[in-house]
Amino acid sequence: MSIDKQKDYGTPISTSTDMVTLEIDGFKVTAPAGTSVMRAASSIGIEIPKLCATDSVEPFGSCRLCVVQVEGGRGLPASCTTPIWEGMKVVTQNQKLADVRRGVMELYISDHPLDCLTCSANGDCELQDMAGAVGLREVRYRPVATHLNATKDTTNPYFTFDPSKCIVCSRCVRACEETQGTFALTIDGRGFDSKVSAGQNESFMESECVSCGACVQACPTATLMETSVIENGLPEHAIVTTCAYCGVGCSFRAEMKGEQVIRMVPNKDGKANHGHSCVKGRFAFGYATHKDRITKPMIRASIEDAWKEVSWEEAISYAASEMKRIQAKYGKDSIGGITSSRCTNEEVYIMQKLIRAGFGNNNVDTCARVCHSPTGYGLKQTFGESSGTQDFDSVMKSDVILIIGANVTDGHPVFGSQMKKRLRQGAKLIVVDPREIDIVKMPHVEASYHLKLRPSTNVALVNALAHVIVSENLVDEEFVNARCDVASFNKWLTFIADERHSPEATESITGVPAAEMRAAARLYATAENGAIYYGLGVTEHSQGSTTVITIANLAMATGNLGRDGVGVNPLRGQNNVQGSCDMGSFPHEFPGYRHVSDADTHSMFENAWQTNLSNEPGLRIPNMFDAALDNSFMGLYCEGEDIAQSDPDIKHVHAALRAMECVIVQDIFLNETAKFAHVFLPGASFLEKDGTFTNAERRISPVRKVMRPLAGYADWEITQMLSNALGYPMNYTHPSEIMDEIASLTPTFNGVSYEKIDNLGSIQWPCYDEESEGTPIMHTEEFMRNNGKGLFMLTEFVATQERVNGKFPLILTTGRILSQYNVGAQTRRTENNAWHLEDRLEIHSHDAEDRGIKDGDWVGIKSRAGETVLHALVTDRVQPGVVFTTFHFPESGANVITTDNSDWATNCPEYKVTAVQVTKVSQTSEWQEGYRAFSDNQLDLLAQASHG
Amino acid sequence: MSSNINTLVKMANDISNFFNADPDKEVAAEGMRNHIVKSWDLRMRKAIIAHITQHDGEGLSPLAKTAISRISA
Repeated sequence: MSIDKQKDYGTPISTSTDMVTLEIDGFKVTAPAGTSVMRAASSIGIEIPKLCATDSVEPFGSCRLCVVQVEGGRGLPASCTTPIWEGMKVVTQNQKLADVRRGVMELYISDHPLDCLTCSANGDCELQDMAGAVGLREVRYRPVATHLNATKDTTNPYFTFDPSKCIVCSRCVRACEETQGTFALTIDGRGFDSKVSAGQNESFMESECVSCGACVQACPTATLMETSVIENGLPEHAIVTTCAYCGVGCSFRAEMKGEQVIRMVPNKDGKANHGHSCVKGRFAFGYATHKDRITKPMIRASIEDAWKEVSWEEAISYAASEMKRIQAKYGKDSIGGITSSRCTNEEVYIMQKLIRAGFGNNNVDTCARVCHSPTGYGLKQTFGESSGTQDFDSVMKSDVILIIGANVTDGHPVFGSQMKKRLRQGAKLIVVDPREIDIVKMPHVEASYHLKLRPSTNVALVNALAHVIVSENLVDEEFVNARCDVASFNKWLTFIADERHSPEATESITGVPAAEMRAAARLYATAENGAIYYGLGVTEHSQGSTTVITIANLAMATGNLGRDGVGVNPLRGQNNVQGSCDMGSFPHEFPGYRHVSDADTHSMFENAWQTNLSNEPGLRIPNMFDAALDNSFMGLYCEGEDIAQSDPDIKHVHAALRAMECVIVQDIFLNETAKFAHVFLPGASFLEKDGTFTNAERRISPVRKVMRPLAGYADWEITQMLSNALGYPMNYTHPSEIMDEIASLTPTFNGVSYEKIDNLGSIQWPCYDEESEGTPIMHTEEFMRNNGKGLFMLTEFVATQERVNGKFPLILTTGRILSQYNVGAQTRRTENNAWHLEDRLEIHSHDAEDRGIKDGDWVGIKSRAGETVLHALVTDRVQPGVVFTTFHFPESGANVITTDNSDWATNCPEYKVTAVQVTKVSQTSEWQEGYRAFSDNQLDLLAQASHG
Repeated sequence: MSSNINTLVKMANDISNFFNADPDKEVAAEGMRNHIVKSWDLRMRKAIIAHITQHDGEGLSPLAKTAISRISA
């Protein structure tokens, strides 16, 4: 192992297919047209000195260090901004060039502190490297004024800005613009006064900076430096792994000192992120070694008892005996398990295997139940496969981008940056969202249409778009006739052409002016390449699956499928939502989305697993809760998921957990669910184990162990121990063996192996055989349904039963924020709290004024399910009649208010629509008081374990 | 009705609202029947069938009642 810095070619790669041959220092080199001289030279190992150039941003030509001589040309052009041409002859080194470069370096160094030995970048500083490269031996200048006493900005918890070390190369400014797309940085002043400035001469924390780290990554000196490097020194080796936060699945280099992570650096070769990152993946990894980590197994007979630390053997034996006892008492189907999208594919696979083969039932479910299960259903029905159709890079070919219910810059920030880049290149944007999310209007990006619909009216709106396409003859008939089930199309045509679906007829439902809907529909339908991106604002509704189907109908009707730049793109919430679903963690499906009653599949798994398997669908998560309260589901094994915080109607969930006789929680922290548990099995963070994650574009990426598991075992090992204790033998010695088994039993994974993933860096399923290198874009020739044809389905709008009235006049909708992640168990244990320390209620100024509410007031939010209290944030981002909150803090009780309404097909909760009343109050709610007392008591019972 | 059967009735009616979009009510009923058979746990299916036999499917939509009547537990 070594640190092996990733090569910097100086300027971005050219995508031209025209090749140019030239001569550099007498060597012939062939490169794509548009390549810079600097990059062409670097490609054959000739490294021209540089400072302001780096291959993640466009060349700037300001430092003058990279000058070269071109035969027949005048002067000394900068090699970073000079493109190659056929027959060009370049000299990169001679005395004249050396003198110029040395002179440039002298000027730089004359205003730079000469503290290399004590500098945090010592050994990793391009200025230092270039001083060596040009042979700088003295600095003759003694300037009367310098920047050496400039004040450091330490406001950002993760990096320090030290302007005394700045060479004003603008790499940070360009990274903020080009890579991240935030435009938070600028060069302020002119000449000697030039300096990097955040916002309007603000500190980094006060500015619009989103702490993505792109500027830190681009900085060639110690000017922008990770605090962790300042405190610990430079790392000595690096291991490539995959981020454990959102569904983008960024590739990172975990840069290490021994077993200590010094920094997470985005991998330039990462095919999902191309060297970019966000504040979570880049910086918020400290939770992995947080003092709250539990590293000893614990058991207790009752949740009123103190925890008792025990050996692994005792914990596993106790857990197994309890599950057996419950099955003996209540029946085989009285226990089950819940997996998580935070687990690796291999962990999820053996968890569902344990439940199906070891428990003997199909009571396995996953947290995708509460996020993207409607995606799985809707896309399986229409396209034949439960996944998005494109890779992320496809967006760079899109001409019109339609975003429905996805706050892409907060929820999937790295892909959001790529999308913004495409929008800055000229693609048009349509946003369907009740809130004015950031991407509606931000620097150099503005939506052509923001269809600000009423929550819960997605189906009516997308049907209206489809009605326009049909009634205005915008259907791609060639595509429909060739690729789709024509009978289903004709039936749908009659349905959708009905006047009740017209924008004019649905305007009163959606609240969106008909003319805007018509114009947006025309824009999408007439685009050469129209792409749809959607998120939980589509799925977490009573008609979540119906909306997914409307989206599929829309894409098929316009022929926007099967090629680059188009498609239906679900933006998955967590890192491994796609993978956990692929691995068979739904109660009705084996791995690969095959129904448990399918005779051939059932027989194949029985043969492979050497046991009898049930062919009956098992319980979904909410059904498990109902069954617990009916005394027919009494034991639960829950890995990596915090249902006691994340699931809706939380009082119902808590009652169900209290009713169970054995709750086994496997996690890295005593999460909210663990407070109701009888067995705690301490798991491993993503840094402590091997495995794979599958992101929103079906990309299977490696997760690699960079430190030993703090509690001694990787999670797959714990599940295996439990399985063995239950009498169903498992003997895997490495997760690669689990992947081999997955591949042997799942056609879409047949060609997947660790060896191939290591060779390619990552691979997108379907991957049918050993020769295949994966499938970036699906359905290119035919759909994956049995007859190969896309299926149109009828999608009647049905109003939610969650109605506003005089008592509950506002609609509450929930969502996430950039700096926190899901239930916050990880990010709340990092410095990310500096951006978001509490969940607040966004309320429109009109609604606030009507209720006498001012910004920062305590407000009570009451629904038919419950009541909680938050601080108010008065804002016009939400429309009148709608309020919004995040759900990252357990004490907020956001899910005390949400109801048990759910999607008709999948029971995905209707998180996005709750009728509420909001009033000004002076104290927290009764539920919050009760929660605090319960939680404090549970923490006391935990403390007694460690002291016992 | 118990709270659980209320939940099942609501779930069934929600499902029927989707399939009811089909003008061919035979197709709609078969679609709904298949959906429940493929996604509901056996104890849930038994409970909703019992609700039809014992309480004439009180609260169920006509389509839901038709579809569930076709399910054999």
